[in-house]
Amino acid sequence: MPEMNRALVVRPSFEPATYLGSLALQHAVDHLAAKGFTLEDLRGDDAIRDKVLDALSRLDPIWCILLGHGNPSTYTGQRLNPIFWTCDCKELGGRIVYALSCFTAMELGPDAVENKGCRCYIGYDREFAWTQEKFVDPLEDKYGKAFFEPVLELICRLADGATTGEAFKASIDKWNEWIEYWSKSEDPVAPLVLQLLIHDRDCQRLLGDEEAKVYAPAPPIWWLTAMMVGCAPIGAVLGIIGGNELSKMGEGK
Amino acid sequence: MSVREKAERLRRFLEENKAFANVPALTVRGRPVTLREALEMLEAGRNVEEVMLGLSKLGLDLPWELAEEFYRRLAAARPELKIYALQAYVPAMSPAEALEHIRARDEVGRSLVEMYAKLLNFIRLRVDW
Repeated sequence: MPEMNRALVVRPSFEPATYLGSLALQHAVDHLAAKGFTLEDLRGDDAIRDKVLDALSRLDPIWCILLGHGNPSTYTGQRLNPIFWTCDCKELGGRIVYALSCFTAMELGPDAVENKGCRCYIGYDREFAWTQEKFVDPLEDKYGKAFFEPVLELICRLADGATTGEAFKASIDKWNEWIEYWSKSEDPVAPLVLQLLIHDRDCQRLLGDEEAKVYAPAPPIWWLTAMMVGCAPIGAVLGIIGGNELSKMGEGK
Repeated sequence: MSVREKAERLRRFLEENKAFANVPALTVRGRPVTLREALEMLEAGRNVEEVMLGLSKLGLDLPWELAEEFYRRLAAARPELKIYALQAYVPAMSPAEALEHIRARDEVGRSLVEMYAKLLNFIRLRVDW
């Protein structure tokens, strides 16, 4: 059974698109770290199949965040190293996957969910495409941030304890916010931004369990203490009393 | 819906959604026409039948010529822009390169035209005529 509050992030970076995607996902990595996730971040040359399988076996994370080039049947890492493909993705069983990659929600995602026990697969069934005017972190680019804020919304909501369905909806809402924003713009690039935003929003897919979660809050200290001394029921009563006292103290502020 | 009513809806839509005014959206007399130009034609009573028909079909066909015109203008106005994608065969391209793909009618060009069709379809549904 994969472990909650653990995540594997795979971030190849070997040409412009993966380089920029990797910069954008640094914000997600920072958020997960701040949230207390146990994290393995395979970047650049480490984003290869052997290291991914090794990390999955050691860490057994509930959550896989996969950046990289894709086609309908295959997700790839550094220098197009194939990492998961249809018929060979059993390691995704029991996990929640977010694949920021083109096309993989067409075949790989359905195979993982229907045949390999993957709990939920969120990805794209066409190209994930975007535009930027500068070669910088997309979140710092006038056009680029409209494409990666919905991505980060999905990841951060999940990390904050939302279900996959809630995080997916929050991401779609963010796509719609940016579509509204650029619809009103007189910037000559707005029509390009809009066609890519509409396209990306419409090809984002959630396959599998909409109620799945990656984050479980740590149990309160009193509960852990009670479990350690082997008298959980008494500890629970004490905890409730203690909790009430704390609540009163809070009200008194 | 009357021509006058259709023109009024289009005018209001373009006032509220300025981004779409200069999008080549339909072909009139063999020439790509933007929504702003289409509105002017309706208001002036020129090419009314052709404009009305074109507006009712926005995004329903694959608009190869319109997408070509869009990228031709974009390549001239903003040559430095890049379009990125997480697919191996074209991870990054300029508007001029996008235009080449559309002109070549290849797989990448087809994807770009399909995206353009989605934009036109989005406009048609938004204007609600």
